[in-house]
Amino acid sequence: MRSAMLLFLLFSVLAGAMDLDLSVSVGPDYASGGWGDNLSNGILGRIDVCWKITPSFRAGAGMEASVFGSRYDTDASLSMMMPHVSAGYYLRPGATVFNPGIEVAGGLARTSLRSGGGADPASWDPFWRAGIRWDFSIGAGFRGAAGFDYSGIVAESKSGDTFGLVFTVSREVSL
Amino acid sequence: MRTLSAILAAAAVLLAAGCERNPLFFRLSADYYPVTSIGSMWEYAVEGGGSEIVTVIDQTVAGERTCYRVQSGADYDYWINESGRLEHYEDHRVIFNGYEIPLFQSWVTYLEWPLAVGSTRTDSVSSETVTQGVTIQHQWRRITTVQSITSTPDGAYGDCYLVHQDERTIDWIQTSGFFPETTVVSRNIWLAPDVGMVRKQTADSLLTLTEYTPGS
Repeated sequence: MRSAMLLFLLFSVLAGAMDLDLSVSVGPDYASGGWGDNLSNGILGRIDVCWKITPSFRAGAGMEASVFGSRYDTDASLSMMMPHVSAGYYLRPGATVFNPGIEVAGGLARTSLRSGGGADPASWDPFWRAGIRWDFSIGAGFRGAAGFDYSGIVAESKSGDTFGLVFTVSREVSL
Repeated sequence: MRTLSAILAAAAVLLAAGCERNPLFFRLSADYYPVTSIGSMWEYAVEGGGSEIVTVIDQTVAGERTCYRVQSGADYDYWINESGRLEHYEDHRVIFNGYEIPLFQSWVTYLEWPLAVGSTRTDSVSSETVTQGVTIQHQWRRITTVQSITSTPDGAYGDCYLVHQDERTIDWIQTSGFFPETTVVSRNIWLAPDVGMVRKQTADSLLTLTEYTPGS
């Protein structure tokens, strides 16, 4: 009980000094490598909460989901759920038009395949992601960003790599 | 402190139990029926003695489609592997009065890619042919189910899809003295990644792959 109270106090102190960046990203996702031969291009969605440790540097956590359908008229689909931690570094924080940056992330990916009315056992594997961003203001306190990510799911025997375009809308909140 | 440790340990056990890894991307990228490389050869040991050699001979045209011709003993099979499907040219015939009568010839999907455990498909045909003044009725049905991901019983190949097929054929020559003739075959097929069929088991036969040579 005392430990929980200490944790709560620590979080409260930290939160008091926090500038958080809440972001939502979407974009197309492309399989890289033979694993996507029978699958269509995918779509990804991502929610992140990042703490702006300095104006340029941020770190946080989030959840990403990706879905790939069948390339042909079959009913195959592959879905990925990826809880992750992330970090980003931006060169011109607060710039209205051009604030380039890089983002990296790592976490676990749960991949599941469904096809023909069946489903393969889901696999949990570590994954990494790296990408570049062009961040800009879109007014009313919101910021937008566009960029691309390359990510790899480090699965057994063969990795599942993807290339994704990312479009992000974010808003900074202070706690 | 002890309670916290117990909770963390329980959480770790639960997480480990629910977070199993398996080579899903490897299976997705593997060819489980590589019949599109000319020169590929599979040599099977037949239970009880002997062997069977299966070879991809060439590309040809069957049923108005370009396909790969596969020789197995004195027989030929025709396969197409494209657009997410493995298709087989079904050539059903019956012997009547000393003549071989064609009953059904067409392309039928054999498997859909990617395979997944529990996936199932049913293919069926019903046709009638009139020959020498006699009607021959033909009914055929094949149910294909992907049962599991497993290794071959001898452990030689891993990450195999075990496919079960039930195939039923009813031929009825509709004249006096003939009754519907029903043939039922059940088979288990082990498909190994980038090798293809490594084992086939029916009620009265067992083929086991002894050598595989990929073609070009």
